[in-house]
Amino acid sequence: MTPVLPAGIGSLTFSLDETGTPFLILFAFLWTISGLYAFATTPAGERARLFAYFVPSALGGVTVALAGDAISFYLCFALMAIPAWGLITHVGTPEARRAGAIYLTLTAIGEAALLAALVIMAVEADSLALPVLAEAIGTSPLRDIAVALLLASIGLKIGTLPASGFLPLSYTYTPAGAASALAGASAKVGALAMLRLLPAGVMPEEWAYVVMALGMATAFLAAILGTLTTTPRAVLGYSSASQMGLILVAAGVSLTSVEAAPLAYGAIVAFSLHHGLAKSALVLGDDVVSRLTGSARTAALAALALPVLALVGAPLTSGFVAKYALKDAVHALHGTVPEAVYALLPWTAIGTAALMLRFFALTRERTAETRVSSPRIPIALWSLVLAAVALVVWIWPAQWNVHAIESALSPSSMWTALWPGLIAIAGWMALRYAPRSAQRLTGIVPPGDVLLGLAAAVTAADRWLAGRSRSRGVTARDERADIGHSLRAAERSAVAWTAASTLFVLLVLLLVALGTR
Amino acid sequence: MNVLAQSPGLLVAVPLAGAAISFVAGRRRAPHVAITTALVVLTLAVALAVHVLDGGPFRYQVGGWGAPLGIDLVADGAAALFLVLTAIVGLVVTLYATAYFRTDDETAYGHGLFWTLWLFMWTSLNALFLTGDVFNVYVCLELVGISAVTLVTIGGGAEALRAGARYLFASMLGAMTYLLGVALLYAATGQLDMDVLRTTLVADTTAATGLALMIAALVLKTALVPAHFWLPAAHGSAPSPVSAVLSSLVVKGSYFVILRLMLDVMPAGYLPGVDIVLGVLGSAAIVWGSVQALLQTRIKQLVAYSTVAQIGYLFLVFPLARHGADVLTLALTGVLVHALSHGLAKGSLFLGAGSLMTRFGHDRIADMAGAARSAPALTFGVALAGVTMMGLPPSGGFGAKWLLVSAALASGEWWWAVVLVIGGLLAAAYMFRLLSVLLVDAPTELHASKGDIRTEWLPLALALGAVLLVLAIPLVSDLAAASNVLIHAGVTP
Amino acid sequence: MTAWLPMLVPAIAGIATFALGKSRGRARNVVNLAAAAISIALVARLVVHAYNGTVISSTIPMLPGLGLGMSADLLGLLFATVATVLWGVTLVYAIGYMDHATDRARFFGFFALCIAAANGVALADDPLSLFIFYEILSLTTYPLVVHTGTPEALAAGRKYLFYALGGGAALLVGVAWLAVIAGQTPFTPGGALAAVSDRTAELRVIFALLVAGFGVKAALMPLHGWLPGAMVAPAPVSSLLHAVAVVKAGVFGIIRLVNELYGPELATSLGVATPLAILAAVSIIIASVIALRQDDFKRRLAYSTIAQLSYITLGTALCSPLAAAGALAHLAHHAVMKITMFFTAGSVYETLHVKKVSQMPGLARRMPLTMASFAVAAFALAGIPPLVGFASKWMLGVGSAQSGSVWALIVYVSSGALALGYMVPILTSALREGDHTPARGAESDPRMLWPIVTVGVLTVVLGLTAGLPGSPVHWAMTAIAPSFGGWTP
Repeated sequence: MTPVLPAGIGSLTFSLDETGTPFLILFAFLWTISGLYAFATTPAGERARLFAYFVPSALGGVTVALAGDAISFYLCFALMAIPAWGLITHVGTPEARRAGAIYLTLTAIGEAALLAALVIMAVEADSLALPVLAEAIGTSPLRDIAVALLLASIGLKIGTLPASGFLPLSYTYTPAGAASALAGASAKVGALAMLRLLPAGVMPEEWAYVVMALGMATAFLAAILGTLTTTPRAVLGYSSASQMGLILVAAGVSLTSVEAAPLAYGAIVAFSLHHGLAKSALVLGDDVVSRLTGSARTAALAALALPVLALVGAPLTSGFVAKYALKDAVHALHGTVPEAVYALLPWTAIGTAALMLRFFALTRERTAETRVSSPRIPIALWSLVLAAVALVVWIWPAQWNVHAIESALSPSSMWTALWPGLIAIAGWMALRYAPRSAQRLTGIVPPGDVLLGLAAAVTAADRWLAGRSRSRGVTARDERADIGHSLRAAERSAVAWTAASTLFVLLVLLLVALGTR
Repeated sequence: MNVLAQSPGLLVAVPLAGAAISFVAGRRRAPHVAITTALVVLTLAVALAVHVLDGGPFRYQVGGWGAPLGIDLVADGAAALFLVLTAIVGLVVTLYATAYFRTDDETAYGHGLFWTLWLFMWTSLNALFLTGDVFNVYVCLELVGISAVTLVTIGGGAEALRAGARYLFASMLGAMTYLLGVALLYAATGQLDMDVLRTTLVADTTAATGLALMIAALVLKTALVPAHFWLPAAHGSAPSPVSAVLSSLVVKGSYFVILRLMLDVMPAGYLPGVDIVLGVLGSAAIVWGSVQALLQTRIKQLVAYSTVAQIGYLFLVFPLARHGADVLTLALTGVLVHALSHGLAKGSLFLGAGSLMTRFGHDRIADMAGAARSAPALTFGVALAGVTMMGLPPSGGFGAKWLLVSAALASGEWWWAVVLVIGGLLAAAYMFRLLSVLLVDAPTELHASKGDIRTEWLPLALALGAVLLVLAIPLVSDLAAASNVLIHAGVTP
Repeated sequence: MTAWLPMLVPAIAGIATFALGKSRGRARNVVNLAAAAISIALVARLVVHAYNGTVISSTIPMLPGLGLGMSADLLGLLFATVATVLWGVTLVYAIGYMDHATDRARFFGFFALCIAAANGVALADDPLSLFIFYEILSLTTYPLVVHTGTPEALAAGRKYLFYALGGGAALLVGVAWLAVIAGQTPFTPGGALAAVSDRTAELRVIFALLVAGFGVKAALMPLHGWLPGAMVAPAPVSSLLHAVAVVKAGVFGIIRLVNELYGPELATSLGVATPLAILAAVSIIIASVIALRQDDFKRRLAYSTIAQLSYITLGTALCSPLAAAGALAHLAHHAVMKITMFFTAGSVYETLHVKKVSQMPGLARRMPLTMASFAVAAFALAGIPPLVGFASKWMLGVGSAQSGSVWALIVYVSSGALALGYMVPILTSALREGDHTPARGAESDPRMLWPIVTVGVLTVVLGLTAGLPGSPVHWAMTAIAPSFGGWTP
């Protein structure tokens, strides 16, 4: 039997390697904390239903970091993504259901693309082991289609344009604990897939440029959409999309350059760790704030500043280091596009800063809800995440880290990190004096943007089709009745005496004429 | 003298004697006479078939005079098949009739007269299958026609009388036309014996006209579209045992004569184009008859139109016969199997229809729901007969369709195959229109079956025969090889 | 003679069931279950023989120059095994399901006859024999489709017949034509038509006719119209016939046609394989999309069946060894998955009268074991590893990529995505709180429950053991290998 065939569960390999370790730690930490948070904040009667989805999702979400071959990777990928649907639709409102439907559709498409890519890679490599797969596809004639499929799958997972609404949709209606896991861990599987599956340094430059451009476009556009959306959770979703756009830039770098690939990989890991923790902290923080009143609320809002600053990339935060790593990677490439991207990178921080301001404002406005459970356990869990946000990059022993941290401490880089935030704050201030019509713009983007339109179009087409097939059935029946009537009439006249005799005489004449021809 | 060699004569003499005895035996004993006669005739028919299989076709001289003075009977494989078919259906119908006509009313259905007429018609049919002389064919046709018309009207009633009148008209018109044809043929050739005609027939307008008239007359008697105007009324309104005999046997009699004239007596291409016309009319019959069957609301009308359609298949052999020995063999075997399977299945359907009408007290298909529950054997019989009508495997109808389709494809004239296939589908359509009603589970109060299993099981027996015929195809094939058509075509050495 | 027995035993059981009549229910159950057990044993013995290289076959003469032949080769035995084993399981289920139904004698009688016909199709040695059993299958299924006798059932039955007989007609012409040009052509791995391979035009037309014939039961679009309507039949009928025996007879015919009548090589060189593949691919996508729109539970399953059957057709039409083997394995795998689902549909209808997906909230609590089995089957159908559906989908995908047909691979994975789309909503609907919540844990009749659990477990076990010798995957590769001479799995 060739190795391209699955030999059942026994053939699945799970192993821990250098690439997987940071992800394993991140995923395990976030899924555990989120699970505990969800358990603590979910009413007892709903727990079973929520955890029916949460447990398999977490299982897949953590073990995916250990998957060592194509099939186990796909298995974990699917195991995490599909049950997450139940988390999104948990509240059962029509909006949540619609969000779930869109989520499931895109997830299913992403899964399909991933499976197709894996199959092609397995065939080309004649093996199932992940490292072999990425290597073999680089020299295969099917390279382009495989990479395109991989990018499509990854792009859907991380909410790249035009699917920028994917992440906001998946966070907005999900209960906080589960949303924290989705926000922190789920999209990072896309980052892991970049490291595991994308071939390094084999694609033509154009490929890398397109991917980088797409990443940058997502980073900017998602930020704009996010500032115009309605709920704190949706803002966070767009922020994730924007940040993951930056990760995609790093992936683009790795595609074309062997030399820059290690740097790019470093950036991807750094971004994943930083963003995963920070975003989780924000989601939980938003929920914690809504449970508190008075001074506790003020304190919580203040603590929220930590992940906010990290995301903006303020000096001495994890985001600062991650962004530096990314810049390093882009800088290693030469050419018009990489240089333009390099120049534009700091400007993305303005968008992030604007998003964070908007988030902060929305969270502050949230009315406190009365909850049955005591907020103590949620606060404790949140604090753990906050601590992780503060410390992670500083204690992480890795090559990229050392270099990035060294550079990060220089004054010039500090300034680079600061000015976008200042511009955003200035803009925010200026907006207060802006005309009312401009202010009304905030809130015009529903979470999900174009995806909602697409979904509505599909529903409308479906209704139209259903209506058409019904009306067609009726006319067919009438026609049948008419035909039957005229056939009966024809036979009645054919068997009448005169007609019958005439027909017979004609038959005789015909036969005689033929016979004596 | 070998008794097997005497079977042709006995096949005519025995039913004739039976008819005479039943006439004098009286109402009570007539059925026993008929059953005995039927059993003997069946034995004789089988004996004749065995004899033909062993030694090939043979001539039998009635009274020992030879042609052209005496009456010669010709027994070949094809005739043997029709005789056996007639004997089997005849026996079953006789048994069925003993139950169907059993009533305490002495005058109903002309009682004793039925048995006499029926045995007399059987005599004429056997003679028709065996005669080797075109004039004697006329005589037999007349006798069959007169007894058939009488049998149609035996049940009385205005509808039956109208149908009988129509039938009588068609029968007389056919007989006169045929006789005119024979006269012309005789004028031109001076011959009436088919064997002699086969060797002496030359191109001649008078002879050709005569033969064309004879074919036209036989087409009318076989009720090929568009000359089918009399059949649905006659077969639909006769008492069911009579319908069964008319539909499964009587139309085959005149068809058998066409078969002999077209493929055996006339040299190839003698009436150019007629073979194609017959094929086209056959195709038209398949489609038109089936469509009309589909539109009928009364059960026996449906079955009668089904006969109109099924007759069409028999005529497809003529255009196919032009394509060489292999195709001819396939096509001839095909129509013979079809004649057999249709004979058995149509007998079953008419007997089954009769039983259903008795049990329901009416003949409206739409109101026959629930039959499957109350009369399972009967419904099953109708269903099996339907299977063979549709030509679905495993059944005799399937064998016939297979052979004819193969012949059409082998000839290169694939359109005949299309007609065959469409015919099968239309047959399925009308049969399932009936069956889907019978199968509906509805609470029904049926009339008791008079405590007699004959009306329930005999249709099933005939249908089973039609289905199992598929296993006997090698045998039919052997008998077809022993037919004069194939022997004279040089297929069989 | 042994090769006839898997067909004859159920046939005899069917006739015996009719003979026993309506009143002797216990005897009827005993006869049927015993027949199933005997058939399984007989098939098992034939499998052992075939694995050891002895193919038992026998032919009786029927039409001039043509015989009716049965041959117990590995390919046919795979189908026969699926049909026979699942017949046994379904019988238990059906005895529970039909507990209060009328006309049970008729039901079980025709049920057994259907299996007899399916086994006949499986083991038929040549096109004519296959055609004959194929038509018998059409006929014996009809009474089951219209079993309830409602106007709806009758309409569905009419439609079924229209399609089945139409397809049968095309098949008849095709088979007859083949016999005219090539005589008796017993199925031969790699193709049986080498002698007449130069008559390309005729062979193309015949291929089209045969595909039209088999395509009806294989529900290849646009010949699929009968299948969704036929779901009005009682659940055991839908389960066994519309997931296992009838529809599989169609795809099995296509497998025989491509691999063992024409042979992959001739099918490719005639250019007939690719159009078939495209037709199948279109069917997969369209049927999956339609399935998304169905609220009626069984109809949704029906459209899913249409898509899954075309998986098999597509895999076969690719004429690549691994895809062909995957197709054959999927024949078995899909049977197990889909029968689980139809059992579930029957159970929830019979127990709670739930027919629509939207009526399902609360079901997961009310019938946890049933719905858990369903969930496993649903994920298996979407091709989630390590369940059974993944193994065959993976083979089909790899086979597509190996033959250079990346488009086919894309079709497979897209359809997997669509399968998620129509399966997951069923599960979530059932998991929601709803009408059926209060009476928690009240499962259906044990005679229905345990068959469901059995086949549900089978979807897991067969998935986990897919790589082991004797699994359908392994079996399929062994059976397909000779058609691709020189290919070793």
